[in-house]
Amino acid sequence: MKKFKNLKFVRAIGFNRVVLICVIFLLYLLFAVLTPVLHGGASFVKVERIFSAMNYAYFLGFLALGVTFVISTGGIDFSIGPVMFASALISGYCLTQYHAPLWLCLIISLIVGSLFGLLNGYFVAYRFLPSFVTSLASIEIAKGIGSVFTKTQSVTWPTAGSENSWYKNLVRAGNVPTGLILLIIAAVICGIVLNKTKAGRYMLCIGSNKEAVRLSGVNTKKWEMIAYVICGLLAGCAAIFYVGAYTTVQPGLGDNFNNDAIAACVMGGTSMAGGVASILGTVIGTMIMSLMQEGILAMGFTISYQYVISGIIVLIAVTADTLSRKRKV
Amino acid sequence: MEENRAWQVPGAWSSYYSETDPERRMEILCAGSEENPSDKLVPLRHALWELRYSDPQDPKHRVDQFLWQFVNILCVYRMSGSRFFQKKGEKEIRQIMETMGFSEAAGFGAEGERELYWEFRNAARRYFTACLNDKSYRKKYFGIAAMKQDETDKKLAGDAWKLSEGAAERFNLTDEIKPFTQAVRDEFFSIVPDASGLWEGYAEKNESGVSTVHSGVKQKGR
Repeated sequence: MKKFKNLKFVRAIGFNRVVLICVIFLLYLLFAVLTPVLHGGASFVKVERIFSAMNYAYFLGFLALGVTFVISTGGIDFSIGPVMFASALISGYCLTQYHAPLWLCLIISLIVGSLFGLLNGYFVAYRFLPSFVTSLASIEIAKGIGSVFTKTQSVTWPTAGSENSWYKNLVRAGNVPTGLILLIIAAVICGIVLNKTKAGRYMLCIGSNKEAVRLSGVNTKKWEMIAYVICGLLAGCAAIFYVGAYTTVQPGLGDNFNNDAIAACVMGGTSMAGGVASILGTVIGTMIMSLMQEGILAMGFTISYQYVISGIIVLIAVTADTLSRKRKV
Repeated sequence: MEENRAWQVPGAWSSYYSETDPERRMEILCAGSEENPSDKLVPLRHALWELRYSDPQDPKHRVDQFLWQFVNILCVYRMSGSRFFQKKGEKEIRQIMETMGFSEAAGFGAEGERELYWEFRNAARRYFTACLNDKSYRKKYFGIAAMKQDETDKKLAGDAWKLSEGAAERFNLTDEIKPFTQAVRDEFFSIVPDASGLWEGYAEKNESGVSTVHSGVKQKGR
């Protein structure tokens, strides 16, 4: 193991990331073998399966990227899923009921997400509320606003081929997985912000030792709030990719995506204690979660099984994180 | 610890180096300068004070550059686990050290190094006190659960070790930043005296764990 850890490419990418990449391949292999056995000869090795898994990865990736910023400051945002749904519902309602231009609706989605981020960030950074309490309240607010705004009706965005359906090209244009390209671009931007800018360094350092950062003259409240705003903005982006893939949004849902996004993030190497974050790890974690979701459905299990399995994955990821930090120097 | 004896704080200045409030320190410094006009190290103390607490962009804004660099070094250390980030980390740590008064102290020889050591100890005291007083530092699991005392001690020992020996070894700076590493270590043990077991534990894990020093990287002179 020590020899493997010291291999040049392992040291270059990082041992944890190499393990995660191996997990993707092993999972794919596992599903490829088990799907025909468990689901009456159905095949997992199909391009459609990959595209389907990708559809899930796009919006989950944006959610996970956003929550990486918040976790890096030592906080948590459990409201990202409902916020994503609220953004999709409100902007979709503006599009279908008020006939607002599509570009404006996409911007509304981003604004709604950012406002929720601002709300969470304000109460955490300026009112010193625990982040999990704030985000639990935000879950209810987001679900409530989504329901009130749409009068508890589901919202169906324009389907492929109809007027105003160009937004679907953001997810897939013909056979080009534009969603993947945009997710990679977003991940690169997030990586630059987190690792190369003053803002990112402040966020990481706040997660490491907030009081020392404050004493050193940094406006910790401002930068902590900005992390939540980025998270909200990316939840707004996720909403666009969600409707791009699935078209219809129902009010009162979205909680189940929090777990997946947080699991992807922690699995990727972002520390639950704050101060350490990995954007590449988050992206790889997202791919694993998406593959899991697709694999479970392909094997003929219902979506409820996926909730059970993603819950177990969160437990495993969190336990592994705790153990690795106990061992690590 | 022999070096520690060599770096005994001059009696007249012990209150200056035990005080952590910047304004109070300036008052002590001014008073001390008047009482000891022949002390040739007074200009260095003033220079280090300015370097540490002044914000070049906003003179009214009080900062603590040394304290910031403590957190910054830890951040660089944590982010440079893979080889991909190690060279970048080394470059960054060298840049950080250039802002920490080594060049200011160089002209004063061994006495300058001693003053730097005590300034670092003062910064380390402020850092460790901030850690112990910070509720968020003592939280785990997304800030939901509080750490036990032994967990906090372990975290503090980890931070102290990474700041001193860990960073110096990983980035090949063992000799160049000795006053810094020694100061962090000594101050940590003055705050948590019975933590030698934790410290050695970190050192052993480092020796047996993944390689930290990347051999083949040339040491640059300061």
